[in-house]
Amino acid sequence: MAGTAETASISLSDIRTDHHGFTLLTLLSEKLVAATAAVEMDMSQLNWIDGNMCAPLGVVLAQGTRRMRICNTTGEGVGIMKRNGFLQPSGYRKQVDLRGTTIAYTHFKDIGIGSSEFRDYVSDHFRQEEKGLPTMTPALLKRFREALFEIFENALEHSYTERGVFACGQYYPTKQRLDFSIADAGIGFARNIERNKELTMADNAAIRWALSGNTCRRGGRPGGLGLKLIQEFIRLNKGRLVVVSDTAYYEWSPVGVKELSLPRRFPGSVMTIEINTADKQSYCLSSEISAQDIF
Amino acid sequence: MSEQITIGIVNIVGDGICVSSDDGEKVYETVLSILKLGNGVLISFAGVEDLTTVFLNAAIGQLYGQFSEEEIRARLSVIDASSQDLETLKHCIDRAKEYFKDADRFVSSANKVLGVDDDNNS
Repeated sequence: MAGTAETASISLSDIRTDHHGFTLLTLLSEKLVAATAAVEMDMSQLNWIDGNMCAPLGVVLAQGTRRMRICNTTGEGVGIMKRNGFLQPSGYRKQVDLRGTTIAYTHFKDIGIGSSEFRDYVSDHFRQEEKGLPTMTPALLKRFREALFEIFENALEHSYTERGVFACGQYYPTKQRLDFSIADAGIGFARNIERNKELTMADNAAIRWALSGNTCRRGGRPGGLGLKLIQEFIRLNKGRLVVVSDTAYYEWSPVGVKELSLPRRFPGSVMTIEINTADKQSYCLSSEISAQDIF
Repeated sequence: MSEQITIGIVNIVGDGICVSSDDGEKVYETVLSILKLGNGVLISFAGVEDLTTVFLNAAIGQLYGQFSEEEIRARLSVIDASSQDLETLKHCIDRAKEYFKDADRFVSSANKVLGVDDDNNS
């Protein structure tokens, strides 16, 4: 790290929603934790950031109490951060998003009211008539909104986060894709499983365990379905799912599954869903379920 | 004589966004109190816009820990649910049945290890 004796300078480079992007975030996290003085974040090399990646970046920057100053904010990557509001807490005015393709960066700090705040957030940003958002079928919009709620409620219940939950999204009209990330600053999947199920497993195995329909819930209420159904929804939609927790990176896409390790631990967990907004299917089983036989 | 009481999920939650475990718990408490009085419950999904497994596990899944599958089948029913919501509900009900069956097996196994007789349940 460069900088003076009083400040440590850290340079951000391009961040995309892939293994390399999360590798950069874990290395950034390590540098921030190691810094003993104020930190200067140099954005001159940041030519691009996938807007949704502001959510996990928010988790990384929330660590520690050192003073942070952001400098050299002229690149396009910074433009994305100004339009989605990521830089507002640092004193930068939110820029108008003329195309309406950003979905606001939001830090849900108080998990006690997080549920109701997130309800308002989803209601505000994901309405059928929302400017800039694609015209999705009602069935797709419903499944997408429900997936976001499932992920957020899971984060509230299972992450043990003490720094809240972070959310951000980005729509890509040309590619007809919508990416959304929800990141928590919690204990990660593996530690949660160990704490509640007394099972010890590797970080990648913990993600697979959670996506397979298992639950960390105890007591009188069942659980464990949400993430499994989200993965099924993404599969039907031919979208993409990326899950990061501790040192594990998991990605599902129509091309296949990637399970990779990260060089350092991510300080929490991140779920990113990418949907194909042009999808027209009904998301109903071909054999209809009868309400009369449901129990 | 028992009667069937109709409850609307949206009336209990306050709007059509039925997603949190806390709101599911409110529905559960209402259904539970009616069932404990010996009545049947007709759960209306009219007006539901968003529905999660988190909500349903709390609202309905928990009931399988209090009543047998036969009792629930006899005294609980649903109306006004969309195809998508019925599908989600079915997943949660099937999961609840597995979960509480597994819970029984866990208790039984634990009792065996501890040397407790299951029949005496002591």
